[in-house]
Amino acid sequence: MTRRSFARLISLAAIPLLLLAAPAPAQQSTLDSVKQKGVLVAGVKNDYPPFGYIDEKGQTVGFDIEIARYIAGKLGVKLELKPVTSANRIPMLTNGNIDLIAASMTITREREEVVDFSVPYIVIGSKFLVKKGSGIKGYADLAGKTVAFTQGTPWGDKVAAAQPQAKTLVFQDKPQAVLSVMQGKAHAYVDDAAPLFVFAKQNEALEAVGEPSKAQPMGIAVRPNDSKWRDAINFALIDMWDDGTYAKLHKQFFGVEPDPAFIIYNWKL
Amino acid sequence: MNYDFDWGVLIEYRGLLWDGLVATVELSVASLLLSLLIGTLVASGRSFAPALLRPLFTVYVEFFRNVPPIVQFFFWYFGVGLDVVPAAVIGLSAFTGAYVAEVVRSGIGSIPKTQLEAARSQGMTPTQVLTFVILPQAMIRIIPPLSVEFINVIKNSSIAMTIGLTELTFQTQEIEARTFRGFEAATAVTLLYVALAFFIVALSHAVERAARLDLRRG
Repeated sequence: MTRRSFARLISLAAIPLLLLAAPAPAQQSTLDSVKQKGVLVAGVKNDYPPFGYIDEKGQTVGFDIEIARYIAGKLGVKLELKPVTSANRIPMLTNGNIDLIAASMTITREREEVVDFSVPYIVIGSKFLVKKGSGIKGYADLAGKTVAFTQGTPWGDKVAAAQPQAKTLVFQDKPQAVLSVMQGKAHAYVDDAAPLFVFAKQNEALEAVGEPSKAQPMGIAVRPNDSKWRDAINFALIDMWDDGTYAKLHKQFFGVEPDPAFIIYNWKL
Repeated sequence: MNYDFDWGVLIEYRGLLWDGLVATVELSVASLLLSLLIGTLVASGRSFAPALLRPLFTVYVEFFRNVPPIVQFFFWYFGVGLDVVPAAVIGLSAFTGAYVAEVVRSGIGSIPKTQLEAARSQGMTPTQVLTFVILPQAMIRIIPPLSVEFINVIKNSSIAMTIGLTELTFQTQEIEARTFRGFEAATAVTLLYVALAFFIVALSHAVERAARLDLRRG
């Protein structure tokens, strides 16, 4: 290839890079772009029963999925599910790959600085998953022992603060953390209560005990500075509470009525 | 793109990046050396072992080459029950060793048969032929493809984070989980991996210059 034709080839390749440098168009509310597309892309978990998991037929189902489905129904659009993990859900949201996160996401101040949360839609406690008969009931029993958790959850700091003498094992997905407890590589796996109860039910050798931290509220996360979109989601959640769908879904996935101490809004907004 | 860059998080979390880099380098160096040993042994076995034993070496190569590395890591950690570091080192070495074996085998095959015949006619045993005539010549010839496999070791070391090894890619995700600054973290880790690969390339050039007489000037 001659020098000149090579230079031309390189400058052709540079054109896409120039397009990246072009200024972004004025921001349109996600509500409008979702209605335009006709599809709501929701980031959900698929390994976290009963919030989001894969059933025997291979479908992604769960409490969060049904909430996303209700919101999509209220907006009159189709629902598309994208599996996310605790580690990648925020980047997927800020990049625009998903329109909202419905993935058992606890509301924390650090997260509020980068995303906006809807009103809390559920309050969830946490547990330690341990082998039956291990005698572990709380942080005090974990001195010198190993605690497993998944990357992207706040447990690393919490365990370090509550029990500095515990060693930690960090995994990418929940099934590996459960396996590590079953095989004795970790003495406890700390996570939200609901999936641990399901894991304990599936495995007679395991049980969910203790109270690693107080119950936390979870919210739907959206990109910041998009009030129109956040309002639409909040209104859908309030409607879901008012017309009884929330209670029905809660009963279906958690087996109990929603805690009367927690209600989304009861002031008929 | 409207994204506020905050490169300060890299300074703030340089401790995590350093820990990850150290873990990656330790794992890569250990696996590099072990896989070179395994690969040379397996390739020599394929070419010079008694005919009845040769299929064993072939099975090793085909099995460890074709099973995805993440599955192999899970096998050593969850299946065999090793601890994190032994599982990572053995898993990465066994996997890379299969590739190195093929590279070494091609190096051995590139030595003319006349070398073997001449050595044997001098009365050398097969082991002596291998150690003093064939392998020295073969290893020098395969330095470039070997450096490719060693760069792959550095890249594949990141898979060890699935069994809990807190290496460089893991620490990048940790920084992102804490600060939500994915772009800055990804840039830092990219540059670090490129630097590691570049180091391997420079090292292999230096070794080749020292070993190959025809490359030396003057």
